[in-house]
Amino acid sequence: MIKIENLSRAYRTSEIETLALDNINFEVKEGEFVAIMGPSGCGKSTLLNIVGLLDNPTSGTYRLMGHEVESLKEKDRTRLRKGIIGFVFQSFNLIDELNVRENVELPLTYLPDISAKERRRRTDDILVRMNLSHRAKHFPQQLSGGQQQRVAIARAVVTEPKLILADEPTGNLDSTNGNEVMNLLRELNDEGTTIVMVTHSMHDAGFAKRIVNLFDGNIVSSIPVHL
Amino acid sequence: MNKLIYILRVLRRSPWTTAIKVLSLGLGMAMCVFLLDMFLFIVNYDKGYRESDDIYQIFMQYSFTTTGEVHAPSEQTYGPTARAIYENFPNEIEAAVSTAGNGGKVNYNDYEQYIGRTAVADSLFFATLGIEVLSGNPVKDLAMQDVVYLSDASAKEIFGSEDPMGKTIKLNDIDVTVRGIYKEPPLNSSLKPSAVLSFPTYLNRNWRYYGFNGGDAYPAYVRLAPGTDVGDLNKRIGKLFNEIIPPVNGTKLDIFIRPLSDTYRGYESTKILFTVSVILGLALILVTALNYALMSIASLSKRAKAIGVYKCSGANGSTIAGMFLLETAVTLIMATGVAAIVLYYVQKYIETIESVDVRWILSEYRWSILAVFAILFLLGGLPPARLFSRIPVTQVFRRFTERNSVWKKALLFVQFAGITFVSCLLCIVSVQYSTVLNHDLGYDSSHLIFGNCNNIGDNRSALWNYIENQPYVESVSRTESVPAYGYSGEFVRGDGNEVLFSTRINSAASGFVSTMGMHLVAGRDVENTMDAEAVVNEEFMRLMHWNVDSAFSGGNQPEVKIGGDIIKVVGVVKDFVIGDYMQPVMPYASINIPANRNEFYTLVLRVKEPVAENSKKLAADIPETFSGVKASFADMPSVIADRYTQVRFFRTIILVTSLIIMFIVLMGLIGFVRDEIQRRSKEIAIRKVNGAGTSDIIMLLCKDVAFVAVPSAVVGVAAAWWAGGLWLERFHISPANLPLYYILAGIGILILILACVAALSHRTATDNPVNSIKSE
Repeated sequence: MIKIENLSRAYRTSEIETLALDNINFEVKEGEFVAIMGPSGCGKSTLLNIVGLLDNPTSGTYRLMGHEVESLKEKDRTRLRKGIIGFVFQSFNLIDELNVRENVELPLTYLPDISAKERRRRTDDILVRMNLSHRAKHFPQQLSGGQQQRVAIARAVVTEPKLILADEPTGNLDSTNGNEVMNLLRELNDEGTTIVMVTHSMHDAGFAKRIVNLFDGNIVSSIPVHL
Repeated sequence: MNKLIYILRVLRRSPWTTAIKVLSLGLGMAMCVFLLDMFLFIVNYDKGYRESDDIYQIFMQYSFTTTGEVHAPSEQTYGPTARAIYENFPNEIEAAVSTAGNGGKVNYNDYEQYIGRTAVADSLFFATLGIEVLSGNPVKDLAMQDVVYLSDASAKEIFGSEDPMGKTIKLNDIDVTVRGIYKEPPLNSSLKPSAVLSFPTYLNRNWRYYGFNGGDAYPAYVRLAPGTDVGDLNKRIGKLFNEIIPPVNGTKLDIFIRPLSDTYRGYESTKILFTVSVILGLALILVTALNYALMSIASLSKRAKAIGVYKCSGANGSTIAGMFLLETAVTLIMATGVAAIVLYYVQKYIETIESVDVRWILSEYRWSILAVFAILFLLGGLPPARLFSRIPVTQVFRRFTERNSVWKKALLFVQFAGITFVSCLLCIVSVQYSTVLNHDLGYDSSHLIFGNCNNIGDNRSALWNYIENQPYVESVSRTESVPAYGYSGEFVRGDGNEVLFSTRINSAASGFVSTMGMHLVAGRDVENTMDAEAVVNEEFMRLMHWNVDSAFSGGNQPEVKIGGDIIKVVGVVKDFVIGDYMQPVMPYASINIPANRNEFYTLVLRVKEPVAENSKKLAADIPETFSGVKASFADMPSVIADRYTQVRFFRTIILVTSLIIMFIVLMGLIGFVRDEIQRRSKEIAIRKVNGAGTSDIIMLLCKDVAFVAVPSAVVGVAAAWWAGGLWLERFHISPANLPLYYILAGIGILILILACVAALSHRTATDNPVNSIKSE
């Protein structure tokens, strides 16, 4: 599903150049659950952004589901991302002005050829599944952290994406809510969704099938997790 | 002092925002000052005379018992009217005067200059109008022939430092002696002559008729004694003139007085000028003040934390409000500097705008800038100051900005409505101007010139032949006046001598109809015979209840009594515009100039292209060929365009106001959108991550602004519809598909607003969303 070869990402200022990713090779097969770990500043989030088509590499190649995507323009990256990739963030990133239902429905509104009726059906289904139906009309500020992250996951999966990218999904949650979220991700993976997750937590990484360790922009190890 | 230094630092920290605030306030202030000055000009019209409320103007009004027709009151009356009122009501009338006015050419030694306004008046002129006499005894002097009083301004211009008293000057080629000097009234006065010539100078030469038997009429005024009951006096004046000029043949004359200050303010054009200056002034001051408030409130997100710190350190709401008001005052002082510079250059380089004396208006009411300052300070400074002072300390450190959007949208609403209003109005006034200039006049003005030849002497016949035979002259005719200048009136009477209606009357030679390019719908043009013949227009035929087709059948030529003469009507021309489109269609009769009268009157010529060059050539060639003859010609389209000077003035004022409002509103809009983008950057990023493209983000922001812009545009269009309706009421024609222009102007403004939002949001829409999410 994801194939990255000799990929680098450098950030330049007028005086210095910082290499966030240094000539890495990385592959994720369909149905995998990969945890990316490493110290702060090692390039985890940069890699996730490039995988999620939010950023372009400086050099190297990246194939997503067979498409060459490393040099796509913003417009094309958006088009390819729609409905294929779902995002889950550490700080949930819900829109405060939209209620739970509207937040979850958001990605569907940007997909073509989906009727309002179909959008409503899919949203209702996912709210039921995430046990959020009773909170559909609540606004993010009225929810607990765990509930907010469940809304964020619901939003990420409502388009039935093939790939979910999670950036420290339990970083802002207590252990009970964190476990709940990880179980959800695991459940989604079991149903066939590919998941790439950045985390600092060994506990969370234990839910993955493989752990990739990054250090100073290089992949230093890729270890299968034995459940 | 510390607060002032802090305020200056705040302003310096955002130089771009401060510059925009100062510039938009300064421009708005300059235009508001001009509009306020216009308002003051009108309100104070005729208030410059001493005890001006006691000055009344005499009106004369004809009504016809046979037809029920009532003429509009005339501002001029028969010569002896003022004197009769003065003599018959000595307890109520302190002074009365009849005047006549014209332009004047003054010669004194090497000085030769036309002075614009000369009044011919009797000895009570200054006493009636309360104009201060600086030297001389006008009661005695103005009763004598060939005496002139000069205004202080014209005396200085003509004589410089020399004493003018007793000196002889030539006024319109008459030798007159300067016997007195008076203080010239302000420009916003009905009577503001540069020179006053004694009445006997005219009357003794029989240049004007002075009596109750028609003929020349005079503007006349009276000064009432304090406490006079005007209603009662008018009844008695009416009774008096019922005896002096009793009703005859169904024609009744009424004489009455009205406050002089009501005359100018009663003109339709004044009412429109007043309404437009008030409406535009209010729109502009609201937009200017609220834009400042909007920009200030928009900065709240950045400044809330500092305010919180002040509050935590012990500042209360009044202290915060005071700081902000001080900031407003400092900004306004800088803006006043900008406004003063703008007004200085306007005054320096623009003497008049379409005959309105801008220089005088601006110099007369210099203090008005302080009034505008105060209004802007209150409207623009108080709402943000109040808002800033009320920020709860508990909220300033997190997410206060979102609470302001209602405020900002309300302010935007007013601004958008303002810009739509003036833009629609500008559109309508411009389209109407184009319509009146391009609409069918009923004659072809395109190659017409007209003018006079003076000092012709014995050259009349030769000169006529000379003009007629110029290769670039297609045709030439003679007339008393041309349609653009209008015509005087005369009664059309029935068989029993009763008045049927009043018609415009002209005298013209054969060939006038064809030279003017009028459309003859029946009969023929007049011939140069001794028999009185007339060509009339369709309206005349309608009022006579004559049918155009049958009236001339079988060679018939109907007869009509105009004035005291029986005239044979030989032809009918299509109705044409007399005066301008502000006048209704009027009946018109043009009587032939008798065959034994070979005066030139006014020459009308149809010439070939290039019209302007040929006109100049003819005016230059005539004196060269005929020594001593002076000739001058004007081209008809220019004279017609001059009739719409006021329309152009309004268009110019509205155009300048629109541009300033547009600048201010766009500045406010840019500030709003930038603030919105900053406030919603995280939301935009999240939407992008979830699949929103560039166009989705632009649409999102445009939709938000459109939510405010569309209803405000509707309000602006509705207000413009009302104001435009007032404007169009003056005209007897209006553009076709009028609603379409309002709609198009409204849509145009909406497109401009949304294009501005789209352009501003494009960069954010294409930014990498990761940056925004990271910064969260």
